[in-house]
Amino acid sequence: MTTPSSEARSASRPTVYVPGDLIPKLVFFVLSLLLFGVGVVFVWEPLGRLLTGKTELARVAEIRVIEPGQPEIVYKYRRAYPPESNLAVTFQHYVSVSIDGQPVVYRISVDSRKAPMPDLNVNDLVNVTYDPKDKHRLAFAYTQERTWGLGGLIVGLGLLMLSTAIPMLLAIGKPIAIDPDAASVEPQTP
Amino acid sequence: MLITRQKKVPLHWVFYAQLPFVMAISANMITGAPFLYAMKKFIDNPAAIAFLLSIEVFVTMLGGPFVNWLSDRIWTRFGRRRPFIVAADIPKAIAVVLMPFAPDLITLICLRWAYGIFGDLGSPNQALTMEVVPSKQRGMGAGFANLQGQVVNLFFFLLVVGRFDDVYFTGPLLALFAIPGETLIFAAGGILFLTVSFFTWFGIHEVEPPVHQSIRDEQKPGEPLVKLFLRTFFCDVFHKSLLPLYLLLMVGTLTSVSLGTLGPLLYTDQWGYTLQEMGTNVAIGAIIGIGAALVAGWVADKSSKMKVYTVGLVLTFLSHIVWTIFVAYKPDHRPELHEIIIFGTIGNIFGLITAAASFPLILEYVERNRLGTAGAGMSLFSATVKNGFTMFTGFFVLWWSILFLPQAGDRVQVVFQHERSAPEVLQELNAAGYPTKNLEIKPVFRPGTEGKVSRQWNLRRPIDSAGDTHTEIKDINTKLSQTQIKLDRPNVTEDAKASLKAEIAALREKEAALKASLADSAKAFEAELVRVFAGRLAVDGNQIVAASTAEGGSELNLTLEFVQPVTADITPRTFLEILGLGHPATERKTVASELARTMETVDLNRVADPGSSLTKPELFVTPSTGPTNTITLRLLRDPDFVILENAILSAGVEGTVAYNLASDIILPLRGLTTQSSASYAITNPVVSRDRLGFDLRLAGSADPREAKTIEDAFRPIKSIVGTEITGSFPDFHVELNLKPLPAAPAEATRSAAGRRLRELLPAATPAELSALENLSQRAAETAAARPVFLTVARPVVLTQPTDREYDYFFSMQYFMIFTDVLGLLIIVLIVHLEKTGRIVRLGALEDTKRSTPP
Repeated sequence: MTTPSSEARSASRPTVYVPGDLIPKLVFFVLSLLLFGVGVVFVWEPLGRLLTGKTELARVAEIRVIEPGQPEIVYKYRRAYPPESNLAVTFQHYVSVSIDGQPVVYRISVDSRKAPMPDLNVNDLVNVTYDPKDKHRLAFAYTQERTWGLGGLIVGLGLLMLSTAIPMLLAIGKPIAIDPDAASVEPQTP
Repeated sequence: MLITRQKKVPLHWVFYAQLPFVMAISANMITGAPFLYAMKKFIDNPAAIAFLLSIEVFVTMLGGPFVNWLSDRIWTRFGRRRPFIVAADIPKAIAVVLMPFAPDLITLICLRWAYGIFGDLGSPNQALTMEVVPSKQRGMGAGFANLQGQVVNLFFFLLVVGRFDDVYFTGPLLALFAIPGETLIFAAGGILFLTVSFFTWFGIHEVEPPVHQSIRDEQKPGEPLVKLFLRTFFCDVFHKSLLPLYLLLMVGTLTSVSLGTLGPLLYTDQWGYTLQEMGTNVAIGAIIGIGAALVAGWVADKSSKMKVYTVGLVLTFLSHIVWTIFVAYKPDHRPELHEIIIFGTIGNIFGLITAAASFPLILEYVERNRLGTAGAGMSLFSATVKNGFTMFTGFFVLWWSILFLPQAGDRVQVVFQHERSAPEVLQELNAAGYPTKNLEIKPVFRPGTEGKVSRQWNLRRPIDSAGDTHTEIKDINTKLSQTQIKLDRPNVTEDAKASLKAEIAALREKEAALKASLADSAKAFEAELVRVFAGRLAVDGNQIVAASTAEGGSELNLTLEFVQPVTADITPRTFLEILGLGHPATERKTVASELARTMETVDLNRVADPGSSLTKPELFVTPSTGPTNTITLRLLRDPDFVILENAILSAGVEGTVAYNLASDIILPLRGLTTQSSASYAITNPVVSRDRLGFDLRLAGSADPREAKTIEDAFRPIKSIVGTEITGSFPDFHVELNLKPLPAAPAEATRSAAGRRLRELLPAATPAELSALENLSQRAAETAAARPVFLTVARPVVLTQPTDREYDYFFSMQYFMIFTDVLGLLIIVLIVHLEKTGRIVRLGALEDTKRSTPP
């Protein structure tokens, strides 16, 4: 089926398409780069610590239970936790590492909501990286994907955005020839 | 940069054309498991979850077809597909980002519905992809789409889904505030939709077709748009020639019934696996599935489609039966992860064979000029019947729970002096005149073991209003969590802080009242059971079989009785071992072999090992199984710790608090003096409830030598509010200002363990008794944890209000087996109708005619 108006329009069809919209594409590129950068910062913390920090097998020394409006609870010995606590409860994991003979307690870089991390009860062992010069910062349990998983997600998103932003920017001003015989290409949708 | 309507496009265009579609599907994954767990904050009822998730599809089932239909018939200066996609993805992104902040179920569901409605608006995204990629290159396009989809699948299940309950404060968030993984996952979904939207708008240019359909071509004068759509859409969908199509679709629906959206709950809520374990499992299945799909396609092409399809269905049906029987015979009905992967993959391969044959088989029955109509019919069928089944599964799981499983109420676990069977427990309850009609009575064993007799029994009774109270507590907790996040933000004003704190306090008060009402009911149940089983339960205190002290309280010896054998296996038997085909694991872990390791932290003040920089336990653990199951602990404590703890206890401070404070002081001292207890000596402690003073002498080799270093070491201790250190190396005097310390309970309120210790050791000092009592409590709690899971033999080991239980596995397996049988019966019917000529493979006939020369 055709309409007279569409037939009339077809007579003056352009033969090329020239991509434009520099400003929005540039903004999108910058935002993509920014997101990628944020992801890199997240990933760099554990990765950088792994490269420059000290790695040791650490023992989980404490699990602290933080609940709004409630006093903090510190568990220093192993125990069974209820299968699932409520959303408002956060569990913080602290590992003990011996630096120059002195036990230093580090908080692991990611907390857990509702329940402690399943494989990090008190006295469980975990590979951590830490900065011996900054004993009050964080330890990265690098064998746990939760330490770098979020960074990976943001880096992935940033890369995905960049992978669309860069070709769009590069194509600006370069004409694309429109196929003169494309009229027969008519997709059917149910 | 892509444009539509080209006859041939470069390969990278084919790749990029798939991206928006795959990205939209990826972002849509957020509405699977993550959305389910977001809903679980407010509601547990699977029927309600499935209903609320499915109802939106019924409301908007014609939305997608309508928008697709409309986009074929209009043209704007921005194109005909892009405006719909962009107009859909921006609100979808907003809805997804807002989901984790929904304060209640209604808001969350409204956001989900808004998401679904705008999702329908964006449905021309697949058509746009098809317009970019010419038909001859669509095979390659489908390959790229599959590849991208699989990568996203792996990424999502391996890395993303398990992050739901993580709380991040690292990276840039460290300076801001902690943020839950849930929020970040939904935000990632929002960003994906915005990316789709931007790329579609600026990265794809729609070329106007010189000839295209118009609404006016089909519209009768004065006919409304929707009426025109319904007339043109439905005119052929219910044509009788499509009967085989609908019969086969019904078979497909009946034989692919599953938990659907509720699936993750089987892993996490019933089997107790983590979201990460579930994600890894699904990802491994997906990797195996890629290879299996190719094999399945090859198999499907090698024989009659109907034969392959039927064989696939029968094998799937048999795999459901075998899997159900296998799990039924597993202890706790909980398969190991590798077993889930093995059985899942086998079932998946059968499913893939069926799927590979089903679509070509359906096409054999459809005339070629009705393919578009068939597609529309399939969409409509999927939205109605298939979605109806999804909704029904939720109700089925609920009915199953109501019929066969305990409802919300009270739970008490008791330990008898001797083992007994279920009929014996029931008989004792009946003999005491206790109503047992709605009571659930189950023996308790270590995870992975089972039997018919036990000393430990779990008793549950339903309470009518308990379910509502649990729901109310859930709502309060969600509000508390959200209020806390607001409070943690860096830019909150003092006024806002005060208001938020008041809000938290009010919510806490309400929650405490609700919990108290539940706890009172559970306590009353416990009291009734203790009365009923009087004289037959384990005697409280007698779990301490023997105790002694030596070296002025530095050495503690304690023997505790446990319910379960202390030499049981921990390493699960492999599948091959169960079948008698494999060798037993070489390093089989047993409770006895793991006890020493798990008990290492039972006391933090063991004597340091002089040969090591690390604190080493001077702790001896001896398990014994005769005549009762016992563990004997021999513990050598740091004498300076004992001096400090005794002094704090003598000030009337509660035992655990005294232990923790003495530990907090000794541990940094030990750290400062290279872990050797010989490097420091504590004398002359003077303690009140808010002050502690003592003389500290450091050995000649000890470092530090400055009072300030010692002061710094005490600074992180939360119970100390001020430190004053005088003197010079090696003799210092330490004065600590403390937060007021709680007093010890009066003698009458002492625990049964405390009274038992006093009986066993009449000459022991209060400090020694307190140390032993603390040790018995810590040892009992430690033994209850992974991996040994032992229960100390007390009369009542658990008293707890509990919510309704659901069985996602057996309820669904039985239902699936039933629907499999129905599906196979319909196949028999189709074969019969075909043999009698009432059904003809019109499509196959047409193809044969076309390929046969005249």
